[in-house]
This record gives sequence, C-alpha cells and structure tokens, in this order.
Amino acid sequence: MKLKLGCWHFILLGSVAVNSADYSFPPPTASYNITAKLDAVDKRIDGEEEIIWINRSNRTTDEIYLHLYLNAFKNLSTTFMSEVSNRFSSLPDYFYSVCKNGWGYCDVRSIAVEAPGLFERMDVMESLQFDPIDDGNVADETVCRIRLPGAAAPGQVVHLYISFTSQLPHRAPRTGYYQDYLVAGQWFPKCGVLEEQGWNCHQYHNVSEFFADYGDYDVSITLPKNYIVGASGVLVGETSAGAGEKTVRFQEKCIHDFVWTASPKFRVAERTFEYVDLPPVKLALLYQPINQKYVDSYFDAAIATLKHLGSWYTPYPYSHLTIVDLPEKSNAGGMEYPTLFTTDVSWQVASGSQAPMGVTVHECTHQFFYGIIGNNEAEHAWMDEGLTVYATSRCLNTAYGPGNAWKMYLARDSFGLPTTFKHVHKDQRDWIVENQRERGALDFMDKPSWAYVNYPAYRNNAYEKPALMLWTLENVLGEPVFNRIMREYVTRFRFKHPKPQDFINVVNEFSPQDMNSLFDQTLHTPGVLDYAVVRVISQRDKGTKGYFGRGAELALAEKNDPGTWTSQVHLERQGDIVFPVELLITFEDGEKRRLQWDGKESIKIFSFTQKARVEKAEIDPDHNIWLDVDVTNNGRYREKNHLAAFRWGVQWLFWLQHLLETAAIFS
Amino acid sequence: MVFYLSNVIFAAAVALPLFLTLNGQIAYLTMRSEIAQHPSYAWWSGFRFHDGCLAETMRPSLNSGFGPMLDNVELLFRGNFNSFGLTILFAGLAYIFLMAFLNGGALSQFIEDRGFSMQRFLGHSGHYLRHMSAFLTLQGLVLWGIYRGISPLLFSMIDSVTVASVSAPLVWFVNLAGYILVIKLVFIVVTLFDYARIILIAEKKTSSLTALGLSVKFVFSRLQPMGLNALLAGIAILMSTIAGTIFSIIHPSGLFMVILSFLLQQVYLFLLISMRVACYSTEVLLYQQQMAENQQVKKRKH
Ligand SMILES: [Zn+2]
Repeated sequence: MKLKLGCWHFILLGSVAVNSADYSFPPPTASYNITAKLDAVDKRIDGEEEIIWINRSNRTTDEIYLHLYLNAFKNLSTTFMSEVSNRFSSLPDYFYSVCKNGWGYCDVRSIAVEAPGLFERMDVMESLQFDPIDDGNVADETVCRIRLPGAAAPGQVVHLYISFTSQLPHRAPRTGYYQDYLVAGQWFPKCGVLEEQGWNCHQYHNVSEFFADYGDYDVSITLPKNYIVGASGVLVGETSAGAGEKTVRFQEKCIHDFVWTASPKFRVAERTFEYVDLPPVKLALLYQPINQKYVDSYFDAAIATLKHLGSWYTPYPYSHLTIVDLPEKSNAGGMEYPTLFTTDVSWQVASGSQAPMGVTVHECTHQFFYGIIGNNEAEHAWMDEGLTVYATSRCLNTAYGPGNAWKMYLARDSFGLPTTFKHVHKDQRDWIVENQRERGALDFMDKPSWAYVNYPAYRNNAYEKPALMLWTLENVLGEPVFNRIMREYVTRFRFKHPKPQDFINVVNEFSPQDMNSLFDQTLHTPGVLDYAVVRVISQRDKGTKGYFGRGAELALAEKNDPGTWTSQVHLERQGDIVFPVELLITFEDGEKRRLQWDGKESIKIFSFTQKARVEKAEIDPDHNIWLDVDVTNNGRYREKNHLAAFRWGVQWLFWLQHLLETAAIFS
Repeated sequence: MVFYLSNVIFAAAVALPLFLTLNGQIAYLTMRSEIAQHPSYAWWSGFRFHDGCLAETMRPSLNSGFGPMLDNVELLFRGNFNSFGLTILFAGLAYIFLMAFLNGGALSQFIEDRGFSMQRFLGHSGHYLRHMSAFLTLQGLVLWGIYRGISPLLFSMIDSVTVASVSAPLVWFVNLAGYILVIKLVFIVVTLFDYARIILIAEKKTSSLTALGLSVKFVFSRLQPMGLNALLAGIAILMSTIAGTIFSIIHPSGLFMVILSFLLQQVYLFLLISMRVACYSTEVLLYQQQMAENQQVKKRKH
C-alpha cells in the first residue's frame, strides 16, 4: 500500500490495515547513489551523487530544498557557531577546535536535474540560492534551494545530479575528524522533506538534530587501503583502486541518512545477534586498541537492546548493525545514525557505574526511536530523545538491574582536583529527577530545539521531562497497558514521520482515562509537579455542649468521648502540574487507609475523627509519579524524631573538623 | 588541648546551624529512618536544592580519611559556599590564622625547652604572629601557584602523552604518578616552610625571607628533614587508614552507635592534632641536633 508521507489522515487510515507482522519496507522517497573519494591528509571528500526523489506529498512543487549541513562549520558567523556562544555558559571544547583551523564545509560544484516525462536533464546551478529559513542569517549556508524547470506534481520522480566537495571539521560534534579517526556524518547534500505545509528543511542549529525521508542508499567510497571502514548499511564489495587505495561499497534499504567512519587504527570484532524468533543481526564493533577490555560490554549492551526492544516493540529490521568506539577526545560522543552508532568510554570508568553500557544502550535504542520511527528531530526532539531515555532505562534495568553507587578514584573534575568517591546509591533515574527539580520549569516540551533559550532548557524538554512523563504514564497505567501503547505506536509509525498528536492519540486509545491533561501540562506549559504533606496534627476530641433535645427532653448537656481524636493531614500542591494522587494514611493502631485526591487545589485538608490518631501520611506511596520533583516531602509523621539529623549533624561536625585540621597542616 | 578545643569550637560554630536546619527538615519525614541508615540520594539532592549552600557542603561521601575533606575543599574552590558558606570560609581563614598564631607559641616553647607556661606561650605567639602570618601568606601563594599553574600544566602534559596510549592501566599509573609528583611538591613546600619558622625563632632572625633562605639551605643540604617529615606523614596516613577502617565498620544507625562513633571520631581528631604538634617538636629537635653536629664539625676543622 502506498502511503503519502506528510498526509496524516492518510497515515491514520492506512495504519489500520498495517499488519504488525509485516516487516517489509515501504517504497523509498529519497534514494541516494553516491561515489566519494577521501583525501586522507586533508580530510576532504570529493563526491558525486544522484538523488532519486519522489514527490509523495499531495502538493505540487517547482523547487527542491537541500541541506548542506557541513556549512555549519564554515565560519564563525554561521547559525550553528553563533548559537554556541549564546547557549552555553562556558564554550564547549569543539568550538575552539573548529575555530583553530578545523573549519568544515560542503561546497556544491554542480547540480543538474531531470524528471522523466517532465523535463530533460538540465543544469540548475544558476538557480541555487541559500535560504536561512529559520533565522534569516544570511551568513548561514546550511540550507539551499534550487528551482526546477517544471513543476513536479504528486507522484513525479525527480533525479538530482550533484558534484560536491566536503571538508570535515576538526573534533566537531556528530561529525569530523580527530587525528586519523574520522566520522563522516551529514557529509553530502541531502533533500529536505516535502510536507503538506511545504518544504521542511531547517538550518543546522547547534542543538537540533535531523529529519529526512526514507530511501535506499548505495554508496562507494575510495580511500587508503589501510583504513578500516564502518558505515550505514552492508558492505557489498571491496575493490582495489590502485596507488594504495581501495573502494568500498555499502548498500541499505529504507534508511534516512548515511554515515561512514574510517581509521587505520580501528580494531574489528564481530558477533551475531540471535534470539528466539527475532531476525538475526550481524554486529560489528570498530574499537580503539586501548578499549579492548570493553569489547564484551559493548556487544552485551547492543545485544540486550536488540533483544528487549525487539521483543517489546518491533524487531530490528536491518541485517547489520555497526558499533563504533571513538576516542573520547574526538568530541563525536555517542551519536545515532542508521544501522550505525558511535559511543565512547573514558579511560577512567567509575567502578559500579554503567559505563559504557549506558551510552551504548541509549544510542542503540535510537535505532528504534530515530531509525525506525523517523520523527522530526529538529521540531520534536522529545519524541526521539525522550522515548529513547525512557526505553534505555527500561532496557538497562531489565538487563543490568538498577544502577549502583559510583566509585571513582583519581578522576579529575573540571577544577583539576582529584574527586573522591561518592558513596551513595544513585538510581539512573535519580539524576534526571534532580535535574528536573532545577530546570523543570524552564520552557515546555513541544518546541523546536533551537528555540530554547539555553542548553539546560533544551536538555530538560528533549530528554528529562519527557522521560519522567513516560515513566509516570507507565506506572499509572500499568506496565502491560503502557507496553501495548508503545508497541502499537512503533508498529503504526514504522518508517513514518509521526507528530506529537500521533503519540498522544495512541496513548488515549489504550488508556482507561483520558491523558490529555497531562500532555497539555508538559507539552505546552512550563512547570514541575510536586505534592507534599506539610502537616500532620491530632487533637483530643473536644466534644460538644449546650442544649440538646426538644420539648420535655430539652436540657443542657455536655457530651464528650475522651478516647476520640481528631487528626488533620494538610496537603499542598507545590508545583504547577495538576495530577491526581493517592494518599496513604497510617493510624496508630495499624489501620491503613488509601484515599484519592484530584490534586487540583493548592491546599487540601483531610480530617479523621476516631479512636486512633494518624501516625503518618504519605502521598503517592507506591512512588508511581516520577514527575514529582521532591519525593522527600511526600510523607510525614505526626511526631518528630531527631536521630537522623543528629547522625548527620555529628558526621558533618567531624568532616568540618577534619577539613580545618588538614588546612592547619599548611599554617 | 588548646589546638583541639579551638578546632572543636570552630567546627561546631558551623556544624550547629547545619544540625538545626537538618533537624527542621527531616525530623518529621517518613524518610527519616532511611536517612538515618544511609545517605539517601533523593533526599540529599532535594535538601541541597532547597537549602542551598550550607547543605551543599554536606556531601554524602566516604565518611573517613581525606575523602570528605577533599570533597569540601573542592566545593570551596567552586564557590559553592555562598552566604552561609562565607561564614565557613571566614571561619576557616580565622582558624588558619589562629593556628599560625599558636604555632609561634608552640615552636618557641619547644625551642626554649623550659616547661610549659601559658603566659610565655601566648606571649611568644603574639611576638611571632607577624612572621607567622607572612609565612602563611607566602606558603598559601606558593601552593596556589602549584594548584593553578604547575598541576594543570603537568596534567595537560600527561594527557598529551597518554592520548595515543593503548593500555588503560598504563594511563592510570601515569596519572597516579602525576598526583604523586604534585603531592611530593606540596610536601617539599610544607617542609621548607616548617623549618623556616623554626629557624626564624631559633636563630632569632628578624627577616622571614632570610629564614626561608636558610631553610632551603638546611633542608636541601641533608636528607634528615625530608626523611623525618615523610615518616611523620606515613604515620598520619597509617592513622587515617586505621581510623577509616574502623569508621567504615561502625554503622551508626542507632543512637548508641552514633554516640560511639562520635567519640571515636573525636579521639581520632585529638590524636591527629597531637600528631601535628608533636611533629613541630620533633622538627625542632632535629634542627637543634643537626646544628649541634655542624658546630662540632666546624670545631674539629679549626
Ligand atoms: Zn540521544
């Protein structure tokens, strides 16, 4: 069945007919045949590409938009580079390495188009114009458009023939080179996505990621013989290109980007993933010799992800997956690309921490929420990052159990002082709750990545708040229901470009209650969720006195029951987000009572008159609401106890004495 | 004892408000029993967030040895001691100056070797305060230079050397060697300044710089001063390790155990402080012995 991309009615109607067992790929929209030659000394790529683009929208267009991502690193005035200095409190390392003669660019040398049945092959280089579509920055050349000699109606096929030169930047994020390691990401001119509203082709911003149509890729790269290469897709051929060079050719169907990495220093390890009825996947790991000891950890983490996400949501649809372990200093960090992801590990891993599994599972999870589900990463980052954080944590918990206390010896922090070990248990989710507390009120989730005022606001709304919201949903709806939601969402939107409302619709379809209110409060308004028990008090029942009865029985009386108490529990909503909560009251005689509160008022008092006093009151006793930024104020006793304060007060006195005494050595 | 008492008083001046804040925060919480058992991350991060700087200083970390000390120094450098923290900073500075003041008295006591008199102790303390403060400032500057200049330089060199390395343990050991080198440097500086103080008092010099010059000559012309300090440092490390082991075995969750561990901690600190004072007296002794030997050698030569 043919689907019109970008037409949401079509997709929703069409999805009903999609069989969840049907793993075949949809027909391509933008396919790329590229031949490239690497200048290994200058880290420069000369390429020729043919793009076969099919208008799958129901809109006629006489122009085509192209991304030239590497132009983000062309000079200091590009949108990417100028955003770096505005968004970070201290300039990231890569800013300096790019500025220090590590510039990158993507220069289009020639461009021709051809549309069978519409117009012959024709040079359109003259019509090329840069279009800073988001911010009007004329120095930014990351988006350009070309004019077609004729208007391409829906269904029309257009071929683009482009010659380009791409210079890789030095130690840049997500792409570039470091020593003789290189990651060619976003290195070729790439089509935007034609939607109902027109072309969706954003500039390359500092924090925003990518968006592209699915298609088939066939890429041949010529480079020195001693380079070991990893790329999106499957290696289908390797031939000698003379003079110490070779040509490697990779092919893959139904992906939306193509990356390759190369270095003479990589070592290669291989495994095969096999698990009950999931299709087998060949795994390749390109790693640095120093990280030999992490080879098993990398594979284990990738295998755990393919196994769990494959069984929970949908099988990994490609036959191959490449894991690339890059030098920490390359700044490439953990990054997802189709059928390939990069990850890294520090020479100094905190024992008990989940490195390098944490980042490996995260990037591998992106194979599902980015790779298989191709939402617009620039406009709705929470849909790929948030879902990935959620699923990563679920996968890590299932595969490795909860995180451990971190121990670090001789690690250096930014101040050059050796940090000692942190002797506390810290769940992987704890740090997210902690960040949420500090920046949860910054902005809201449904916003383009580049529109956030600063990096913490982006981070919060792309990664942290959505993950907390999803965990809360999972707990409140129950794991089986939420798992069905996720499975349905993935099945319905495989190889499509879902929007936030698509996800919300699936949730509401399966959830017994309507979840729109929660989505509204997280997607469209800033704020945090925090409920607290602020007071628990009891008073002996004062009884009553005065006249009682009528007629002959009218008399002064005093009634009281000395054994009865009136207890009050005061609750507060301390955050902006309203969410129904459960209250657990424990009485002195051991009785426990569960009550519901819709959480709407800012102050709420519950009263109980009975023989036993309230001993303690707890909000959300099962700890379902992960969005709650402070769980310590969730429960309160009626009576106080000083032991904990005493213990830590004394401990702190000792620490301080020790500090003073150590300083005195230098006096 | 004077040293110990001033330590307790200074620390308590800051620890008490913290205890009160803590008490106000957690006395009613249902989480309190969990908190009493072990540091709860969720609680601690929330506490830190609500109560800011003061709580910021209380990191749940290893509860013995130099771990918490380093943690807190780190926070100090990061400027996380804000409003309340300024009190701590000033208390710390005042404490160090008080120690400088007392050092003068203690050293003269040891040099004169005439039995203890509070009057003379304080008198000498006052007399040498000017010089001791000068030493303290200068030493502070030198150590700051090591921290901000030499140490980062060394580690960036280590980074550039190890970046191409293929062996993780090797990288770890090179880093360890780097730390040892820095510690060694600090150690030398401390030794130099210790003897400068002794020389100033023993030789009745009036210029701190002359004393420092003589100290350099004294320390570098023979092995004993460094050897002695290394020995003393070794004993201190051994003591901390033993104390650390004891403290990590004791799990202060009940009231009795909290009191017990408190007493043990105080004994340990008292010993540590006594150790420092004893260190001055042995240094003085060593200096006097060496000088006496020198004189004999000179006499024989005549
Ligand atoms: Zn991610």
